[in-house]
Amino acid sequence: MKPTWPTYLLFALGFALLAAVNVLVLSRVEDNRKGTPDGLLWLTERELPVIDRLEMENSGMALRLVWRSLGSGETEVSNRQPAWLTTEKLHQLGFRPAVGASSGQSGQWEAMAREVFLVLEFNGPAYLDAMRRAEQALEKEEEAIRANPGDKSLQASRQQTKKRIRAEELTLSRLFAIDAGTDPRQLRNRYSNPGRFIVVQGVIRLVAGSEGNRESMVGAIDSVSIDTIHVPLEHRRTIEALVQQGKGPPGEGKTPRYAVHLAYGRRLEPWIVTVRPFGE
Amino acid sequence: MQIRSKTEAQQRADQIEAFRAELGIVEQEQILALELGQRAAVARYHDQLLHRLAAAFDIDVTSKEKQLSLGMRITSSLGALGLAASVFFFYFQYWGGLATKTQVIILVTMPFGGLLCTLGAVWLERSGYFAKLFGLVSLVCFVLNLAMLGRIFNLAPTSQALLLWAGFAFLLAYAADARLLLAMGILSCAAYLSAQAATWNGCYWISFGERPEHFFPAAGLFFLVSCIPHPRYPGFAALYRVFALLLFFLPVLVLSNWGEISYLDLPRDRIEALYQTIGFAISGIAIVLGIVLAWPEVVNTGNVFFTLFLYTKFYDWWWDWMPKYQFFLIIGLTAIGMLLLLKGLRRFSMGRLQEGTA
Repeated sequence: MKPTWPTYLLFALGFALLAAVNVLVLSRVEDNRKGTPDGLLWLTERELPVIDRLEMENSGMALRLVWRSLGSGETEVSNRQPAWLTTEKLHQLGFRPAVGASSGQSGQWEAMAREVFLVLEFNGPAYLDAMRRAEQALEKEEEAIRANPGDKSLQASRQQTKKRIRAEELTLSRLFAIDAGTDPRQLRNRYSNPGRFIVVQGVIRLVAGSEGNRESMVGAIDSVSIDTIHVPLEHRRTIEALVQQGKGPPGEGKTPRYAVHLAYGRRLEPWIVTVRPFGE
Repeated sequence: MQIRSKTEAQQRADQIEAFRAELGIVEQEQILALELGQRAAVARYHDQLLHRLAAAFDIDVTSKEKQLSLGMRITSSLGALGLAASVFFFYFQYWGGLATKTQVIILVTMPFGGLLCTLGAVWLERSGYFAKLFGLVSLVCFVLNLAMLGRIFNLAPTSQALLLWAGFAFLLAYAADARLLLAMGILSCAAYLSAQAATWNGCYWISFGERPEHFFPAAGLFFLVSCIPHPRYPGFAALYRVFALLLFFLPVLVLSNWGEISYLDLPRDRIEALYQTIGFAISGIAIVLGIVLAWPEVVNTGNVFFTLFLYTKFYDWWWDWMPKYQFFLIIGLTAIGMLLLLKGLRRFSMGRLQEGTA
């Protein structure tokens, strides 16, 4: 049976849909990159390491955006439950206890995860605080060793803390999640330095935890929506050459091998502007 | 009688084949003997009709042809899946070595090429095997198109992509009369609607699976769509109904066991009891409705879920304290009881049919 006119109409609609969608996506990309970037940072291999293993047989290259946050404990770093993510903040972000229920159990919240906007600070007070916390931890351990000089476990722990300080100085990410909100413009106005702060989309999730002495649901940063940055071919060659020159990935005491100029556009979507050897 | 689709044509051909076989038996038993002229006229009419139907719809006139067609259908489905996977992995294997412009050109043109091939296959080949095959490949190309553009330009994931994939899958399904593509469209659309339901309730859209009630709007919508007559697309309405029932019963089954993930502001055990009652009632209604409206797929789905609700209840009540042989004995006896009940229903519906005939 030969196709009828409704069949041709369906195909015409199919072609129109393909065309419209691609035009829309590409114009969105264009719109994001138009004008002055919303954020423009020189990040290094510490914050943007190469993802070693992409999916099977994937020949692309991508960098992972590594970020941290400061927990409420005096020595806590790299915690997904930052100190600033209090119950009050959760309410500001739109988390509400379900009608007729007091906040507490998982089912008694309207939503377990919400999409919000996170502020990431690069090489600022949060990073200095992380350094201070590591040094404080070392001081405490040295005090404890002075009180118990023969305790080998304390000495091993001191070695670990020394390594941590070294890592804080040279290898760990200096990008810290310092705030969250529901309006990106408001956040951008409050954190207006584009060379230090970036506003990104992310997800905050309620997880089981403790508040004071009672068990309850607490907030945790689940993810940053775009934490994988695609490396176009022209920059890929530079990164590959730089990684080849330095031997092995940056470990303890090794400096990063490359720096990436990363821009965030009007739609909070990032792209790599340029790549250069670290320290140039 | 106007025949509008391949399935209707095939049904008519099967009817003719059955008529010829039955006529042979009836004549052999000497119950009826057609005159030579009559027999020749009927045979001529049927031959001409079969010839016309075969020419227009590429149907199977004999049972041997039918067996071959089944093999071809299976082969074309496997071929379509293989080709689609091949396109996907081929692009993944080489895209890293291409400049951004080339990547974009390939990604944008691939689904257009797939759609052109599908159109060509619909035009040139009446059986539709190649149209279905190319249809699936072009859908995969479109999925790859959006997913990889998102990756290349670091775009945030969005639920709108699910809607676009669903729209394209529906267009292809109706254009190529392909149920596999329709199923993909339904799944993608259900995921989008559930994600929207999650967003309206203040949740992150990817977390739509955390609250099973998010699937109910999609279930309702597809059931309504299934009520729209699909005379040119046989099997489409049944597929909508099956997915509507799955999208309703699976969340109800989950909620009847894990009440704490419900939106309802009630104690957990009351939520579970409520959803268990709903599960039993609606699966029972589905069986009766399916029998009355002659929707076999609704009867079967209702049956499966009624049994599942019953067995999960048995498990809750008896698994921990009852000896296992007794537990499985009850399961077996219940199955026999249900068999008898369904047999009774069948007898009842056959009785009604005979009354109608009389």
